[in-house]
Amino acid sequence: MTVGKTLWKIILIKLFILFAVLKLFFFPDFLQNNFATDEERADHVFEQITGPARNTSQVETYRNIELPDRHKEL
Amino acid sequence: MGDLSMVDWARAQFALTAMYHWIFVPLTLGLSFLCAFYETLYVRTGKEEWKHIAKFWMTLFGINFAIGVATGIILEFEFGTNWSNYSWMVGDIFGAPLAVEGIVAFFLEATFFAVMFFGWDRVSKNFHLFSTWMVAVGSNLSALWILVANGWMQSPVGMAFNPDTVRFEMQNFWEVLFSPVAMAKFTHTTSTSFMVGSLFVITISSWYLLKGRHMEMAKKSIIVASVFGLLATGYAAWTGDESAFVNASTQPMKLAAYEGLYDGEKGAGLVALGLLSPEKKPGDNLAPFIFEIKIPGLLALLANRDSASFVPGINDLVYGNEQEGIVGVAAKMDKGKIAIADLAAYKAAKKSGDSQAAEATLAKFTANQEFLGYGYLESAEQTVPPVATTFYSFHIMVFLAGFFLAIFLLYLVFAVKDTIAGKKALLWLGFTSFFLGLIASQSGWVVAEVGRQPWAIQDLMPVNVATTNISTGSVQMTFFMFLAIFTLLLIAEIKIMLKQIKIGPEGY
Repeated sequence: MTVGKTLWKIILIKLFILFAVLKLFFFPDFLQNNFATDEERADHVFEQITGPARNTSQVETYRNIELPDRHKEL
Repeated sequence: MGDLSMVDWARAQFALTAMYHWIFVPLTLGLSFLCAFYETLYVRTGKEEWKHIAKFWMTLFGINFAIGVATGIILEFEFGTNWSNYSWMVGDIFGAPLAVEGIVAFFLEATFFAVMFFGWDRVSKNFHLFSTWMVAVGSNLSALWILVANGWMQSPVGMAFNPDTVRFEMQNFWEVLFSPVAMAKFTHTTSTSFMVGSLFVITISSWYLLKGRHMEMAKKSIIVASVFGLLATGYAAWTGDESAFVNASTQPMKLAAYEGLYDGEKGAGLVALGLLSPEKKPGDNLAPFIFEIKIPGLLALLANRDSASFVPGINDLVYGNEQEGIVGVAAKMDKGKIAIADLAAYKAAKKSGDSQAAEATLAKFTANQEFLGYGYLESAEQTVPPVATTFYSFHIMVFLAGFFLAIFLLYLVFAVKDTIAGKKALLWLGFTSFFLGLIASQSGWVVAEVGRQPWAIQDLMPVNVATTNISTGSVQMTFFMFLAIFTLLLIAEIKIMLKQIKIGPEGY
């Protein structure tokens, strides 16, 4: 059946483009490629998500913040 | 955190690839069951015409499957490259469902697909039929796991945040699997995909009837597809109601957005038809609608199963409503900022070996961690998703569902009466229905994913914190590459399908 052969060609070309071209050259796994251990990856992500609080004075400000009454119910 | 331009391109790329993927998937999910029905009729009746019908639709199914297969894997590539913070933090949660999805897809779909497509004269009738059913079941089960993962993003349950590994760790697999959001998503997504599959059969069969070709095959196909479509529409309506009910408790802002509800009210009505005021912003005094037609009490019924109950609006959720016990976003933002600060302090204490300070800051973090995501916001109004996009997508989806219900009903009645071939106006309407079905199906996803903005993980992680710190240029480049590749695949699918449709079922 010729449609079957055509479809197989499409599947194989598509899989080649996806895995041998796109994945390899355009979609590196950022954390796997740039950090050697899970600890390093965790540290990097940690720095990313605590970026706003890295400034020491800001940390102290938020640690000592006196919340208004509206927060009490939270 | 990535700059906003990179965030928007990463968002656009994910949306592009997801929407292209979603052209192929609903057809697979729906048409697979229809193939199983047609082949069951062949095996039960022994009539060769049902075999021709089954093989014809199976060929179109195979074309769609072959071209669509692995288009979803690109989304996983994007997790690792564009969304590294997100993929690291949710890896423990997503790992299990996506692994099961891969195994189920491989063993059920792919194995039995080969038997279904190539095994007609090689295996017994009953084993071939069994294989066809396994393809349908397997593909729908694959969808389950992806939707469980998506459901978790919308309502993160069954997990605990580990500040040492910076990951959300699964605590209860069953809670994640059977989360009300995941179950509502799975049942609603599959039911609407059954509708799309039925509409595909309706569209092509309508074409044959309009051209006066393959009439008997078309009429028989229509009867089965209309029955399946009608049942699926009822199921979709029920699961849609369940989705709204679940949204009301887990994502009330999304519900408010898709109804354009700015000020909450008791006995809130459902907007059947409306035109939003484009200048309307949260907190201002403008009327939200230029015009609207509301069904009184229906939104309250949908949201809370109580037509007299209070449904919060956008303003209640942003600014708070003391009377209804709703805390505003500003308070949550303060708590979130404290959580971020304590998280950083915990890490610093651990690094310096101060275990007492570490324990103290961890306790403080834990008290506020449910507001973590709010700490990244710059204004309370950021919690409001694009209202117009969400509202119009929702209403397009529901309006089209009503149209499809009418189509399935009319087609069934006239096909059974054997007068459908003469109903030219109806046939032309039916011919458009698959394309409209794709629009409705995509609109549903727009509601789900635009409606959850700004959250990548509801309340815990906004989208702009989820991205990798990489250049906008690389994301732009791959965006246009995908646009080109997917467009080529789509053109290939249309060309190959049109060729088979021209041949028709007599070629089988």
